[in-house]
Amino acid sequence: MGREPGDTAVERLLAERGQDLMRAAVALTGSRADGEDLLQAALERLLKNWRRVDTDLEAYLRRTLYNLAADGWRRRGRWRGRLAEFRSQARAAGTGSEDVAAVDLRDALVRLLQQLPPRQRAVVVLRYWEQRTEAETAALLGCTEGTVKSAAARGLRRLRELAGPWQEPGDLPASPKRTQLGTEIEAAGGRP
Amino acid sequence: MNRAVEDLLREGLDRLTSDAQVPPGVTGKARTHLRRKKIAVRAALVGGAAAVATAAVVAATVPGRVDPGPFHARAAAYVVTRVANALAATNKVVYTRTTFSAPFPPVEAWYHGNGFRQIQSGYIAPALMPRSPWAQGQVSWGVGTAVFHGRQIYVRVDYRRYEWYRSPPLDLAPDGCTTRLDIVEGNGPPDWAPYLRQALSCGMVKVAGHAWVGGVRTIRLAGSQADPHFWGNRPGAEGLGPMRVDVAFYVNPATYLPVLVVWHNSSHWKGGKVLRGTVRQQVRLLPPTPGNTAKAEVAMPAGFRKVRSDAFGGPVWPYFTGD
Repeated sequence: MGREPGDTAVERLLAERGQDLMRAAVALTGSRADGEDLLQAALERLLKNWRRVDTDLEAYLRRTLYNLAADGWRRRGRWRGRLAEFRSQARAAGTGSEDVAAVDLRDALVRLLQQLPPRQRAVVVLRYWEQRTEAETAALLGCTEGTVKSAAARGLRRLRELAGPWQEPGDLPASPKRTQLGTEIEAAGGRP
Repeated sequence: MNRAVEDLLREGLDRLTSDAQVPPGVTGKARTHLRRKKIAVRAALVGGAAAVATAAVVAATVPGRVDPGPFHARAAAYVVTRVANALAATNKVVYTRTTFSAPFPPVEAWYHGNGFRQIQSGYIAPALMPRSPWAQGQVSWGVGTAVFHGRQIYVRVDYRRYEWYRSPPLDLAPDGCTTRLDIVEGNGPPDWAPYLRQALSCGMVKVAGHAWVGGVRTIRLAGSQADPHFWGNRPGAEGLGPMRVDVAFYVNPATYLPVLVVWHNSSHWKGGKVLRGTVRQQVRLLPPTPGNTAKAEVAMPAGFRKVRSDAFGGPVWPYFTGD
């Protein structure tokens, strides 16, 4: 299978800027595996439209990455984010230490981010992780600054709401998996 | 929460992405995928949709052919992707009935959209769970989503004691190639798609011929994994080796939705004894009628008392029968 036009340039781009792009993809999707899929989907778009790409490749690829993510890219199981949310919640339970709780909250927020609608998620990542201005974010996503402003505000508000349980230490549940696995060991009748 | 959500989110994303690397060969994969899509489109345009470049794969799914044995990796990718997409796209109520080789009652579950409900009713011998304060013979538990003060929450309900508490559902999302094939059983079919994709990308699932299930000649997807960290430092698990899981998904070739999943679990004690167990999960799709969708939510009966979060357990999914 021979190399086609664009392959070399794309590989050079990935060698130089690939890590940044991959980080963005992971931030948008919440996991490395999905980030890889998203980057691959963006690359496919780039290779498909190779002859029509007249801007710089990185900008095109980055814009494609964010727009694919903002458009939903593919229907994702909402379950996953939900389960992850509670995993973090469970992990946060009973730590007692403020530092550890802060770390858990960071992880939890990253997972809760996946519960936001795709466009809100893309806006939040662009505004608060990449520190883009509203104008830059709007240009990247092809929408108005007003849309960016409202999506960012709604996204943050939703994150605060979702993160609410972490503020109520008494309401944190015990780890389900530990309970379940304890049960499984007992159920197995295999204790020495 | 003392610090701004924005700051904590930024730090969290920094941590998440700190070691992200471009996967090797991603350009080639993108090129190959693109080429395959083009071929499929061309084939469809000339009226030969059934004769796409993946003819070998399609042939493998046609009932009546001789089982061809192990397939090319592309066949696995094709089938698993179709299965994952079908699972993600179905709007039907997914009903599962899980039975165990261990003497525990089956778990029935309904999943639809964001909602789910799992129930288990029957007898569990107290001797099987000697240290568990909530296992006293007859059980009748429910776990799932419920609407409480206008918000969807996760609850566990003990119908015999008229008690409930807010609960996290099962945890664990796929994470790199540490995806554990055993945990898909608890998470339910709507959450299988990412696991299947992950398992495929890590080479853990392969197409392994056909098998008849309930009158349907299904495609069999098989995978194996041994997890050396499964037991960790859990009390009572000292001396147990890696948890090995052999899983088989039986997929309807017409819909690419699983109709049966079987897990064979095993783990060796140091002395040579083996802990084994089999879990079978039958999957059925129900039309999304009001009656069926209502089954995918826990109806919280009036008068039930809310108790502390670890007051009792919930449906038990015994991985093992015993040694």
